[in-house]
Amino acid sequence: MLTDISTSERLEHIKVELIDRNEENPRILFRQSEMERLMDSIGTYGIQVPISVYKDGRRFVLIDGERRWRCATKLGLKTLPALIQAKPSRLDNLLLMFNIHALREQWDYMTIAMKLQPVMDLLQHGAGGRRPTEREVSVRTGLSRATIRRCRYLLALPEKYREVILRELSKPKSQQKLTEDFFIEMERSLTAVQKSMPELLQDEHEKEAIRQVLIDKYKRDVIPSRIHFRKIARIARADKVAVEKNKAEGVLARLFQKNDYSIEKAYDDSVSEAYLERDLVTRINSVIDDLRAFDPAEVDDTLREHLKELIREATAILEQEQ
Amino acid sequence: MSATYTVLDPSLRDYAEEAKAYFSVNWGIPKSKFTIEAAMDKTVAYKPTLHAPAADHHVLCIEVCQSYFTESLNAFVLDCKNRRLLVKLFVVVPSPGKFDSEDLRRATDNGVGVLQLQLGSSPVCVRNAVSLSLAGVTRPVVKEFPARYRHAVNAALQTFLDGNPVDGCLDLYKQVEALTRRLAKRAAKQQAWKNLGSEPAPKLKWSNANWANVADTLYKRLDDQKLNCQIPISLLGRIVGATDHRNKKGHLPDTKAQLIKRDASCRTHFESAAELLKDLIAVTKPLNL
Repeated sequence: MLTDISTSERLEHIKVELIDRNEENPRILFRQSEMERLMDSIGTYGIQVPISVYKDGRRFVLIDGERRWRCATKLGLKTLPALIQAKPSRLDNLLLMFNIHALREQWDYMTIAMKLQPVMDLLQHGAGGRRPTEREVSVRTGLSRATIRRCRYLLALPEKYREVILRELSKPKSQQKLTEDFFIEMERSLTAVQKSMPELLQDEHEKEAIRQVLIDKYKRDVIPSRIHFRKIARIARADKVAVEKNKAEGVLARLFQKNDYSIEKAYDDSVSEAYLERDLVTRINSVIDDLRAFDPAEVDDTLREHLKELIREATAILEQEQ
Repeated sequence: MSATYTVLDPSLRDYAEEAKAYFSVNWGIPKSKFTIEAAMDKTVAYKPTLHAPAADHHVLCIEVCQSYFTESLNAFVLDCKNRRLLVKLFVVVPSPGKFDSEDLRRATDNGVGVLQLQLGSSPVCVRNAVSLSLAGVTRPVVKEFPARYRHAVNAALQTFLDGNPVDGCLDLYKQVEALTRRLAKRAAKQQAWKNLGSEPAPKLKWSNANWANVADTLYKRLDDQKLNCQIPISLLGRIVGATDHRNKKGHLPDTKAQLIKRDASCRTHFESAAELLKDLIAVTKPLNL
């Protein structure tokens, strides 16, 4: 909950030249094509929704409306309609913008993450050094816990990858390759490996070498989809499906080398059948439960035919095994 | 890289700086003369990414964006044209980018230059900018001319827009002159002259006599009834007037004020010459000249 923010606002037309951007605004990336469309709209219809600012001395600082302000500056508009609020504390400034924008639109995770760090630091400072929990950060910022978790993965990345992400984000979506989602999936998979098979990923240096291999494979389409990274975690947890750990470690070690060995191949070479079997067992158990709850008097011809088919297939498999 | 860009997206600022370097070299404008994101004229509010004074009295405006043409740019161009400002506008588009043929057509139709730029590589000039003080000329609709004239009309327009408005006007006048001479020859062949008592029929060398004399003779002596073709006297009067303009090539302007005046004059003459040619072709059509 925001504190010490006055709810009284007044609407005024203020000079564009007196407005400064808010350095805490998480939305630091405005795709140029979106800006151009907005500019055309403002040029035609004017600014329909007032921006929000707070007064800082003789000038005003944006709370909401940076894109509108930039467009107005470009178009040479003299004034902007603005709701003027009282100056917030730094923490409230950050939280205010998270709450304004998180409720309205989909932000890039990277830009949220970059501003989430100071929020968490300020909350920690306010709590006497205790690190805020995910739930507390979620309540204060309006972000979902899943979003916060994703942001944490991004914050844990080396600086150079965060810069890569920022560069990618400035491109149109169709041209983006090394996206936030890609890095999140990759980091998630490496965390699972680190947890289940720490011998493969002993330190940050090894982790970085593996990242570079995986990034290279992704760029070359050896790994065609970032969704495939989820299979790395499944391989790492091979013991859950009674596959020998050595076997899983072997395919992962090969996967983490410079070659054309893909995640799909690694998965097929190690745990795919085991997971298939497990999933089949789960489905069979589910069918058995359903059948047990079924009233035999309600079996119609269609169901009877399908049950006979099921028996035929199961019998054929069992006889083959024998 | 300059830190004074406020509006331009950070991802495009390197492109702006490379564009500045390109024009600095190719147009001879010192980098220090470029102004960032400011109005280039007190009567036009729009702030192009960069602008600088060029040696030919024009203001070079550079807009860095992802699209070849936007509605905001359209409004800026219209403002410049309506105010007859000496502006040459280039749109600098990062390469590779999204190609929109409709936007590119609008840019070229409006006289806007287009530069495609890939960081670290030489820019590709897709189209040179036209002075917006000239680009506002009413363009002749080529389809309204018979096929044999269309190339000449297009070429005259292109000459005009390429920064040679006087030559563009002259090219149109040449077409009017040629048609006038053919009309005069036909009139002579058919003895289509007004009977002025003792005055003999005109006997000029219609092919190479002074055009003003040819036009004057037609104006005073042509009897269109004998040609079986109605040719309004007012049209013949316009041809006489055109001969006077055709001869006034004049000197190259030395100052901005002279350039503005010349461009305004040339726009008027070009539009008049195009209309005159179209009207003359129409009225002489029955004669199949």
